Parts: sequence; structure tokens; C-alpha cells
Amino acid sequence: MAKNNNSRYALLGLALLGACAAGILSGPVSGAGADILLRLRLPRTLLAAIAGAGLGACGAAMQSVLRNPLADPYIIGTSAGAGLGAVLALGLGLPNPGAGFYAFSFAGAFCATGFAYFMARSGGKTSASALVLAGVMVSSFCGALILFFVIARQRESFSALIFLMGSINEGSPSQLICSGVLLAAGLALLAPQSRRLDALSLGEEKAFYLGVDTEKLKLRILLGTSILACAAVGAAGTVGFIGLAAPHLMRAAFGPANRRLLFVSAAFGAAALMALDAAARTVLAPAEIPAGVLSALCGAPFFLYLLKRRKHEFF
Amino acid sequence: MNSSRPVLLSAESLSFSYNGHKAIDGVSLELRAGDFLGITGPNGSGKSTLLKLLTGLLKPQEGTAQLCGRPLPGFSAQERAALMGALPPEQETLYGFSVLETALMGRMLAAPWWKDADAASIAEAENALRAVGLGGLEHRPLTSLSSGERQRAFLAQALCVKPKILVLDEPTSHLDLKHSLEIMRLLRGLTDGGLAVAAVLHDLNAVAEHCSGAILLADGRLLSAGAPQEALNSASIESAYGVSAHKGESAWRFSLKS
Amino acid sequence: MKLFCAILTLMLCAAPRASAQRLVSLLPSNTEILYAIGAGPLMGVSRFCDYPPEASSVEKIGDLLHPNLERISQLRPDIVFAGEWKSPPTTERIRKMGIPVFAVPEATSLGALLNNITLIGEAVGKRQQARACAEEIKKAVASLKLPPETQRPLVYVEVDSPHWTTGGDSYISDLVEQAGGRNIFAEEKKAYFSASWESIVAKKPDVILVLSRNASNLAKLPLAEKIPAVRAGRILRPQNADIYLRPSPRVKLAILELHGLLNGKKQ
Repeated sequence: MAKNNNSRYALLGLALLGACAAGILSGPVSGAGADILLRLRLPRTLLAAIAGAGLGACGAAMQSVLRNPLADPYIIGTSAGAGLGAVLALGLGLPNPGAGFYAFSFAGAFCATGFAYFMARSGGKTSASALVLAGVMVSSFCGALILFFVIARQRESFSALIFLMGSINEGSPSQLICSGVLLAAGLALLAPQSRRLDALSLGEEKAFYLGVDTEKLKLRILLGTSILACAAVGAAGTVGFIGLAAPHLMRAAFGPANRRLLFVSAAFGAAALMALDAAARTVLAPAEIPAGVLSALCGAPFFLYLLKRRKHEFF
Repeated sequence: MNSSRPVLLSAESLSFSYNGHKAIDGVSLELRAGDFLGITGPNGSGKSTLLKLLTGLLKPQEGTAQLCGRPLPGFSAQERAALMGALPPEQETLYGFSVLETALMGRMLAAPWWKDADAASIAEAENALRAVGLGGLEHRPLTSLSSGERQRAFLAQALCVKPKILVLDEPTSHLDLKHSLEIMRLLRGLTDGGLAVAAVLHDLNAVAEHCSGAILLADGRLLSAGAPQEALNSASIESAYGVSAHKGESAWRFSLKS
Repeated sequence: MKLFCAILTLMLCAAPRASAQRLVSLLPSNTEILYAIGAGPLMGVSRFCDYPPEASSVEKIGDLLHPNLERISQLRPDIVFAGEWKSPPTTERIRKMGIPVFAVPEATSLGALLNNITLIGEAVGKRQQARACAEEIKKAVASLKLPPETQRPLVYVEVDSPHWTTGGDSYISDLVEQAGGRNIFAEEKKAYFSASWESIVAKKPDVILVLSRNASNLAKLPLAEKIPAVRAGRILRPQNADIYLRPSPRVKLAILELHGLLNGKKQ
């Protein structure tokens, strides 16, 4: 088993390096000078890496804590909350990218998730299905408000749309630092819980009997995943699919143990988003497609193919 | 002779209601080291609820449960798990941990997350797996096992921690004849070594055959308790299940060959 | 007598319509054209129509995408002016109610705009006024002194933030060219698209024309200081972006203003 894993780790590492190189070396301007490479493409590639890593790790943790292989970073309302925060910021005249905008989308994401958590809590317990239901409720509510905004205030609707589809901008140092710190914090919160998270993913009762404080664990995990999701959304808007697909693929390659899965999902997510962003900038140059559009386009058929191929041994 | 063995798990007048329906009403019991208690009763009589009260998953509205002499709520999750292992009824498993990983899980919970399992733990886990008859299946993912094999994998997981008490909810429900007998023999052997086991079992014959004590629940109340021959008699079985019962000469008797 | 009445009726029907027509306009650009050629006052305008000032007090009947069909049919207009783009459902629905609809083609250049003015003039029997209007614009534009092609400033037009700009095939691009600028994306054979910041930086525009209505912090983006427009502080934010965005007779004002700004006149 370990032998297989070593070659897979090597492949993953290669993918990461390759995607990073693609991010820095490709772009609309051919033969770009060091200026463009270092000050435009490098920060942007790093931002894509941070966002992708956050999405991958968050998705893995969500799928474990909710015992739901269709969970993604946004299932408990995170993306809808972020979108709402974003459109509010735009309505107040705060441009994207900008510190005010980042703060608003972060606050929106965090509050929506917190709200869903408290809605799901009853009698001191939060069941996985209650969390998902609360998340759906929060998402639909925020989603409706976002649509209303886009229709009523047409002047910021393009900015809002770009954010909601998910796209990466050239990245300021403060954006990189903020998202980077949040990514590290989220991973630092989640990694030590990985074994307990494994137990929880096999069943709440089983985990309890093994000695896991399930309510405390869930709170910690949700806090960690919220931080990771906010790091990703602040860097790249609400990019879909990577948080759902990365853990699936990595679980098939490396097994479900979270202490590995969190990190390889992060690595794969980073590679995927870096590669997608490189394509997004280059394919229709000088026009730019939002990376989120590409992730959805590539993700859906790929997922379908996987479903067809591995009917039973998926998880 | 009985009184020299310490009481590991005890319950005093436990009562618990769901939505106004009293699932458990004034149940008391005592589990000593070396006991193999069979908990029986018809569907809806509160067996699973009783187990959940005994393991601390549910908090009783009346009465107390005590673990090794201390009230159950006073234990931290880890303290409790070190002393008492439990298995819920077998359910669908989503994620394909390997059988070995599964067996190690309980034991490795306290280990630092970046460390792999050490050789001693692996040896323990392999022993436990052999004991439940899963030797050789260490690297198979859980999702590829039959429900009976999964059930045994989780039993190995509980055993690996070396608890003093084991509380099991239908440990043989998915097992065929042979494996059922093997597990019952395993549990009997462990209780001979000092483990206390309380298990919900549907097979009255198995209880009569292997358990050192039995309790019969009906409508959340203790109908009878004691040695299996005493607790499970025609009158009590008829009263609890609503079927007439008598010991027959023509029924099959099963035992393991080795 | 009967014959006389019949001929009189026929003549009345065939005669060019009197100016007191019942007209409805669903696009602000068409509204401006109609008023400019003297076809006002209109019976109904879209909720976005704000020029000329008289149009603000006209009854609002929805907009191009969501017209208030009930109200429109109640008004019994002679013609409803819609637009060709995005509009087929609207146009069809109004036609189905038995009301004549004139779908004005999208103006993708100054020439197309002038053509539209003429077409609209013919539809409402204001051919003379329309021609005069178009001539006035043509003369004003022709009178501008433009430097030789290679000396004209490179312009990046930000139609909407972030980086929503125009290729060569659009009205705004033509406007910029007529005013003496060179659209940095003029070779792109498309109308509007989202450009990557990297391409914008690489094209080194001399002037940035910001038409989006919200705040844009272009100057703070990485490598912005390498753009000549930013270095020289030539980021133009016209007071009234509508005169640039709407294909209407006010294009004259826009082109003259832009020409002045491109030649260094202070805003």
C-alpha cells in the first residue's frame, strides 16, 4: 500500500508544480517580461493555489463531518452568505478587489454558516441532516436576495456576477496574506482532529462510543471549514465544483483517512484551480473567462465519467 | 463467589421517555466482571434505548447509571471509552477505510495525527481481527465487505481498545450460523477472562446457551432477570412476546466443530 | 356622393400621419431620437428614459425586457419602438396584440446610428427633421481636427467594472475612434467582453475612459504604474456617461467632449 502511495504522491507533486508553471508561464501576453511574470502572474497563481487548497481541504472535511459524499464547501450556506456580503459591499461602493469587499464577503460567509449552525442546533445537538437542511434554507434565502439585488441595481451587477461565478484577480499582497493566513489557520484547526473526524465519518454513534465528544468535534470542524471556505471565497469568489470533486478523486487515490485526505485534497484543489485559471486567461485572450465557469464546465462531465466507471467502489 | 467480582456497570431505576412515550420505566441492573448478560425482549420493548442509557448516549430522566462505581455523567468521553466499548446495530458504511485502519481507529484516537500506527498497535489490531475471524482481510476496504464482515470489523475495533465492559446491540444479527457461534464463543471466552458483556440478542436459544445472565424487557419494564434458565421460562416468554413457548426435543442444536 | 366619401376616406387613410401620433418607446436611445426629431410628446416611455427632461414626466410602461403589456395595449399606440437586440420575445408579444412594432436595429457604429435616426424619422413622418439631425451630427464630427493615425492616443475603455470593455465591433469603439482615439482592443472582432488585466497593461493605453458608474480603483492594481494613462493621471470619468453609452443624438456632445479631453483639455 505504501509503495503505491509514494508514486501517487510523486504524481500529485508533479501536477502541483506543473500547474504552478502553467500559471506563471502562460497568459494572454506571449513573451511577457519579468514584470508581468512576477507582479501579475505570480500573485495570481498563488491566490489560485490558496483558494484551491482551501476548497479542497474544506470539501474533504465537510464530506466527513456531514457523512455526505455530495457535500461541498458551500453546503451550509457559505457561498450564498459570501455572495450576499459581496453584493452589499458593491452596493456600498466598495470595489473588488479591496479590503472592504474582502471583509464583507468574509463576514457574509461566516455569518451565514453560523446562522445555519444555530438553526440546526436543537437540544444541544446538531445532526448532519439538520445542518444540510439549514444550509439549504440559508442558501435559498441569500440567493433570492442576491438575485433581487442584481435585478434592482444593475450598475454593479457585472461585478457581482463575476464574483458569484468565481474568478481570480491579480492579487494584492494583503489579499494573499489574509487568505494565506486563513488557509493555514483552517488547516491547523482541522488537522489535529483528523482521526476523530474519521471516526465521525463512520457514524455518530460509533464515534461517541469510541470516546469522541461529537458535539465539540462538530463545532470545531465547522469552524475550521468556515475559515477555509472564507479564505477561498476571499481569494477567488465562489468557485464551484473543486471542493466537491477534489476530495472524491483524492479519496479514490489515497484512501479516506482524513490526516492524509485533507492535505492531498488541498494540493489537488490548488493544482486544479491554478491550471483552470491559467486556461481561463489564455484560451480566449485577451478576453478572460471567469475560472468558475471553466471549473463547472470541466467538472461536470469528468464527474459523470467517474460515476460511470466506478459504480460501487467510489468511496 | 458472585459478590467477589466487582460491579462494573450498574443502573438504578432508569426511566426515559421519547415524545411522551415511556421507552424505559424503572429498569435496574448490575453487570459484574465476567458476566455475559443477554438483553432480550420483543421489538419496541426498549432494548436499544436501555443500551443507550447504559453507555451514556442518552441521559435518563430518572434514575442513575454508574460505571465502575462512579456516576456515568462524571466521565469524560475518553475516560468512558477507555473503560466501556459499545457497538450500535450495523448500518451502511460510506467510506472505505481498510479493515486494519478500522480496527486501529479506537486505539489510535489519542495518538498524534501525523504519526502512523506503531507495530504494537498493529499487532493488537491483527489479533483482534483474527479473533473475530477476519484474519487475512486487513487491507480490504469496509465498503467491499458484507454486512456481517463489517459487523465483525467493528467488533474488532471495540476489542482492540481492551475495555473492561462491552455493550453490544445485536452483534450477530447479520451473521450466519457459523460466524454467530464463533462470536458467541469469542465473547464467552472474553468474559471468562474478566470482560463484562451486555448484549441485545434476539435468539433466545443463544442467550440460554451462552449467557451467564439474562433480562427480559417488555414495554420498557423489566419483566424478569437472573440466570437464563430462570429469567427465560415459558411464563415470562409468553407474557413478553405473546407466543406460547415450551422446550422441545426436536429442535436443532448447533455447536462449532473445533 | 358615395364615391366622394369613399375617395376622401381613402385619401385620409393614405395621407402621411399627422404629428400627433400615439408613440411608445421602450429604449432610452430611441426616446432621445424621437424627441430630437420633434416626434414628441410620447405616450409611454421605459423606466430608464430620463432625457430629454420632458420624457421624465411621461408615463413609464416598464422596459424592453419587461414591458407592461396591459398598459401598452390600453394606450392604443400607433407604433411601439423596440430594439432589435434581446428583443424578439417582446417584439412578438406586442405584435400579437395587433400593435405595430418598429424594431430599431442595434447601432454598432456612428454610421449605423445616423441610419437609425433616418429610419425612425421615416416611420413617424419626420423625414426632414431626421435628416437635419443626422447632418448636424455628421458635420460636427467631420469638423474635428484629428492628428495622424499613429499619433492618436491609445484608449482603454472601461464600460463596466471590472475590465468589461469593447472590441472593434461596437458603437463605443467607433465613438472613440471618431473622437480621435485608438481603442486598444480595436482588432478584436467582437463587441463587448471581459479583458484580462494583463492584456490591458501590455497594451499601454495613454488614456483610460471610465464609463462604469461605480468606483473603480484601477490605479491601485498591480503594475498600474506602468500604464502611461495612470502615470500621467489621464483617467477620464465623464460627468455624464449616458451620452457615451446611448446611441442617440447626444453622441455629438460625447464625441466633442472626448475629443477635447484627448487633446488635453481639463475636465
